[in-house]
Amino acid sequence: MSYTTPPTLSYGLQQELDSLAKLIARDYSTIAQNMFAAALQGAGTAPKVSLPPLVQLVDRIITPTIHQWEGLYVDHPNDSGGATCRGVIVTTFTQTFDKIFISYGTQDVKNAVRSFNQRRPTWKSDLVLAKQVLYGLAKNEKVAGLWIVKFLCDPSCRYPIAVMAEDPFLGFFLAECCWGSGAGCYTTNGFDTVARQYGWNGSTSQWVSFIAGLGKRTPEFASKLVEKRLQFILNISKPESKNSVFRKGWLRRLVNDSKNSDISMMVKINELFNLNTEGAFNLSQAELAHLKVKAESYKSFSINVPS
Amino acid sequence: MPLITYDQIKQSLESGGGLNVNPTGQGFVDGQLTGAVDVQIPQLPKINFPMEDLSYGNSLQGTKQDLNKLLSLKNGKGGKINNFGGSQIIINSDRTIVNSRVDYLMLFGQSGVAIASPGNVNIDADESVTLYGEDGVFLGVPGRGNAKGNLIEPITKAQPTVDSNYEPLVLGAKLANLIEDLLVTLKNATILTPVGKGYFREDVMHDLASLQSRLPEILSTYAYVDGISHESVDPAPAPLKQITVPPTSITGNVAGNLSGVVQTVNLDAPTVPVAGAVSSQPDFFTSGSIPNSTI
Repeated sequence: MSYTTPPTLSYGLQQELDSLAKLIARDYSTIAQNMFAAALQGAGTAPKVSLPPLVQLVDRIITPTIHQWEGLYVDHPNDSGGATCRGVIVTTFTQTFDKIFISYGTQDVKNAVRSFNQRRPTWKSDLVLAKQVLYGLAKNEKVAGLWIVKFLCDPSCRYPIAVMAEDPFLGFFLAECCWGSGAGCYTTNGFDTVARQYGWNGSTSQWVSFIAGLGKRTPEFASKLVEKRLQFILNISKPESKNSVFRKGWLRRLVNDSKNSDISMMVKINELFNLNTEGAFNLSQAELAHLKVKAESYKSFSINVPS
Repeated sequence: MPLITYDQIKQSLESGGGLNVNPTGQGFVDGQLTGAVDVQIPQLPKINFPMEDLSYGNSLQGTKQDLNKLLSLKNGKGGKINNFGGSQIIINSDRTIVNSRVDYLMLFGQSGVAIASPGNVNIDADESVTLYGEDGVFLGVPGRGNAKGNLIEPITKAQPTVDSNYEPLVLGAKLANLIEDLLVTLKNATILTPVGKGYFREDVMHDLASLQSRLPEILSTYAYVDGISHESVDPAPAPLKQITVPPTSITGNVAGNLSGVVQTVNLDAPTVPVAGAVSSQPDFFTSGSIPNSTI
């Protein structure tokens, strides 16, 4: 059996989870907006882009790309993190399940989740059952996508969604780095050092305000962060290091994939969301005006890469 | 160092077909439905009671004896004439008392013993009274000796059944047990309905329990009947091989108009791994986090 073979679910459990997943998927937009609203309130900044188009951006561009990288179900024996489904780790899944769906869910979702918890009281502590529930729910893109939403709302990651409301790509990129390296990436990757060079006072509570104040310098700042990230990956995955086996994959995810790398996402977000070239997002005139300035400045984006 | 520019990345994206918004998948309308709903209620399977409807056949016979014949009296000469041919003792008085001071008073008769009166006959005992007949104990004379009764076979359930000269007594304890079993069966009953299991409402359950509590009052504490001499049970039905499970859902068709806002939500998640996921390629494994080591 491959480590990507999903767990087998009983018919009854499958039916329960399918029903719950459909309910969550139906209310995805509302739940995501509730989570984003709480995060923006925590960040304490006035967003330049409203919640509905931000949810659409995450749903239509960011989530599919991250899911493309993460695959569906992976339970690799050498992976200390444990089983993941669409990048959601089983322990994170069980620990944050109630937080997402009971704190931010619609009334229907709250009721359904409480009912499920009552029917399966041991599912969070029973690892075998937890993996089944993880797969049964997170195979649904919308359900798994809410963990990306949660990540974008993480205070320890300095509220990436609040940054996105100012500069969509930069918010995504910071969340992507935290997704891979944890919240410590700001220091380990040298992001804070760069930020200080651009005038950041070192206060995390001022982080979003600092980003907003960058104005047209945002693409230049973003390119510096990408270069720092690239250098960080090259340093920790040298051929003789234990991380050398991951080097190729990490570089592909950052710069070397023509469709889904982080820098490809920069162009995708700039062209499809900031400029709204396909008209796929419901943006007001004021929002479009703000994003258009970002879009034009990002066209000067460039990074230096080692030969 | 090589320089990667915005235009290079964009060109690469466009040539690879990656510069478009993710298909929004199957959508649904979050709005209001107006119209008619046609619900198809499932048919329950036909359930056959697995035994024949047995009827009780009564062949008991009782005979009223003619007192004049017993006494060998016949009419003649303006009154009754004693016509008995053998020896006999006749005690005839305005009042007759027969008393046994120490032992039993015994009345024996080769053909029978007749106790009769135009008035009442009382048999009293300070202890118990036992009636015993070798062929049975019959109480009463069917139709007071002129048995007619109903001899017409009923056609409907409301019509009376055919009468018999004699019917067996009911055994009280067995009847009470049978009724109690019936009440318990009703209390535990699961009713098959086209839309799932059915049960009696709480008030009906309460009434059944109340009836059960009244059962002891049907048992006499004074009069008893032979509890051994009774009919045996009919053949029991064969054990059940399966129990019908009622449907848990109903299906139907909705015909109407749906109005509202189209939500671009993909309700049906794929059940197979993401096609071409980079993480599924042989040389790629990145489900772990990048270590937090400093540059």
